[in-house]
Amino acid sequence: MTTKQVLVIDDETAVRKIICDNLKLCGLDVASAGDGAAGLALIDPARQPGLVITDIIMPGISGLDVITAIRQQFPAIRLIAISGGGKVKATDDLLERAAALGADAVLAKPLDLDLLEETVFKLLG
Amino acid sequence: MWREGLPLAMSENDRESKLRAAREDAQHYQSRLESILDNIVDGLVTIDEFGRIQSFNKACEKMFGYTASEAIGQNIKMLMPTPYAENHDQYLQNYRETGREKIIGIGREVEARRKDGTVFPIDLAVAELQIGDQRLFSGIIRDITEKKKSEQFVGLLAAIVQSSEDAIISKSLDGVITSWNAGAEKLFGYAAEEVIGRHISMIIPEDRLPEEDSIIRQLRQGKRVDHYDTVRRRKDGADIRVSLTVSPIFDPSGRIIGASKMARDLTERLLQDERMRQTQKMEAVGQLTSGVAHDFNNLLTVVLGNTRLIRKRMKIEPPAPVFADIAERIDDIDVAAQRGADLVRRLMVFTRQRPLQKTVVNLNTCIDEAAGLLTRAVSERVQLKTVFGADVWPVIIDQDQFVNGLINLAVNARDAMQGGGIFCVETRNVVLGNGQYPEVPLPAGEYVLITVSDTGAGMPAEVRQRIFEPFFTTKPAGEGTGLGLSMVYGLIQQSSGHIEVDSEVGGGTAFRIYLPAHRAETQP
Repeated sequence: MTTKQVLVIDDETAVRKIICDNLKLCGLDVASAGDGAAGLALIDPARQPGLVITDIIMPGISGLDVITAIRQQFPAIRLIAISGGGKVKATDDLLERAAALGADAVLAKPLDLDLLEETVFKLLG
Repeated sequence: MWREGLPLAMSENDRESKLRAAREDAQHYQSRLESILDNIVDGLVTIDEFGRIQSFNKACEKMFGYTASEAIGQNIKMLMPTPYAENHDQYLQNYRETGREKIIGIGREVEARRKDGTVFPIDLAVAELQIGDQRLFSGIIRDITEKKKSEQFVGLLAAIVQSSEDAIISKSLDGVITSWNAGAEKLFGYAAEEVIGRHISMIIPEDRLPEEDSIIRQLRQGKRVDHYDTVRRRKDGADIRVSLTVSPIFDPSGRIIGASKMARDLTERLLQDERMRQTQKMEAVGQLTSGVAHDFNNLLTVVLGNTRLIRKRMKIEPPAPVFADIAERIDDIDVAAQRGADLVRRLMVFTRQRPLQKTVVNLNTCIDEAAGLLTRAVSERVQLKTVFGADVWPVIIDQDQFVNGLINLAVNARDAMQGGGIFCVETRNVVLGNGQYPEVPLPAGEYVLITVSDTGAGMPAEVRQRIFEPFFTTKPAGEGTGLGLSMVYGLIQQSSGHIEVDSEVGGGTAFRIYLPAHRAETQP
C-alpha cells in the first residue's frame, strides 16, 4: 500500500538535496537515492512511496528504466520525471518518452519548485 | 585458240609434236595459274551469268568451309546470308536484261555465310569477264572480321571518351587542341568546332600559363601529370576548380606526339565538402551546447531552489535587522539565475532539446498577425514590406517560435540598415526536385519558401559562414547573445525545413527558409 512518502532519485547531489529540502519544508516525508538502482532498492513493496520523482539521465539504470520498472511492479505509485535536456541523442525528446512510458507529469530543469510543489500535492491527492 | 594458230600445211609428225608441245605449254601454264590462284591470300570465285560457281580457290575453301568440289556447280547464293541470297537471282537477271550494274567494278563491304551457317563480313570486288562466248563474273573476297572488330573497338573507345562526364581533350605538343569531347563542351562551355585547332591557352587563366609550360616539359620527358588541382577558364569567363590528369600520347614508333588531358570539375565536390563540414560543425556545436545546457539546468535548479528555500525560511523566521537587505540580494540572485535559465532555454531550441508546440499554420496569416511586432522590431527608420504568395500551403511549425525567429531576423536587419531601408518578408509555394532549386538539400516535394531580405550592409563570407553557430555574434559584447540565428536554425531543422543565406557586403542579405507543405491530399 502507498504512503505519503516521496522518493527523489537524482545523481546530482546538490539537485537532490534542494528538491528534498524544499519538499521537507512543505511537511512531506522524503527519501532519496543517487541512482536508479539504489532508488528501486529503496521501495518497500509493503510500504510503497506515494510518489517517485526521478531524473532521466543518470549513470547505470536511467530514469526511463526506473519509470518502466515502477509501472510494471508498482502501478499505484505516481511518477514525476524531471530532466535538464540530454546528451543522449539530439533528436530524442526525453520528457516526451518519459510521458509515453507512463510518467504522470514531466518537468523541465531548471525546476520551477513552485510548480513541482503544486504537482506533488496534486498527485498525492 | 592455239588450234587456229597452227599452220595447216604441216607434216603429221610435225603437227603431232607441235600440238604436244603446245598442250604441254598450256598445261604448264594452267598449273602455274592454278598454283598462283590457290596461293593468294584473298578468296577468288568465278560464277557464270546464272550464278553457278565455276571456280573456287583454296583461300575460299578455308574461308567458307566448302571444298572446291562441293562448291563448283552450286549457286553462289549458298555463300550469302539473307537478304543478299534472296536478292541475288533478281539482281543477276536485271543485269542480264538491262546491263545496269550495281557492284561490278567496285569493291564493297558485304556479309558472307560459311558452310556452318555463321556470317562474317567481307570486302568483295566483282569484275566481269568474257571468255569466248561465255560471260563470267569473278569475285575477290577478303575476310575483314578482324578489321571490323578493331574498327568497332575504336568506335567503342571513341563513344566512351565522348560520353565521359570528365572533360577529355587531346592536344599536340605545341598546345594545339586536336580533340574535345562532350564532357569538355559541358565543363568549359565551348563546342568542339570552336576550339579544335586553337591553342590550349584559351582555357587557361593568364596567371596559370607558366603551369602549362611546366606540364609540357614533363610530357616531353614522357611523364604523366596526375590529379593536378588547378583553375581553368570557361567560355563565359568564369574560373573553375578542376583536377587535371595529363598523359603523353605516343605514336607506334614510341615518339611523343601530343598529350591527352582529363579535367574533372571540382566545384560541385568542393561545395559538397563545404556543406558537409558545416553540418558536422553544427552537429558538434550542438552536442557540446546540449551537454552544457544539461549541466547548467542542474546548476540553475540548485541556485533557484536555494533562493526559494531561503525565502520560505525567512517567512517562517524573519532575519535579524542586520540582514535586512537579504531579500533584495535573493531577488538579484533570482533575476540573474532566471536570465541564465532563459539563455539555456534558447540554446536548447538550437540543440533540438526543447519540445515545440507544433500546429498547422497558414504562414500568410501568421506573418500578417506578426506585422505589428515586426514593425516595432525594425524601428521607424526601416519600412516593413510583406509579399504574400497566393494560396500558400499550410505548414507545421511552432508558431510562437517562428514569430520569435522572424523578430530575430528583423532586429538583425534593423542593425544592418543604420541609414534606413526595407525589410521584406515574402512567401510562396515551391516544388523541389524538378531541378529548379538544385542547391537545396531537402527531399523532393512541396514546400513553402519564406524569403526574408533587407537592403542593409550585408556581410562578408567569413561572417556569413558562421552566423548560425551558437554564441557567434558581430555585436559589441553585452548587446547580442549570439543565439538568435542559431535558434532560428534549430527551429527550422526541427521542422524538417532548411534555411540558407545569401549576402554580399553592401548588397543586403536574404534568408531563404523552406518548410514542408502540409496538405491533406499529399498525406498518404
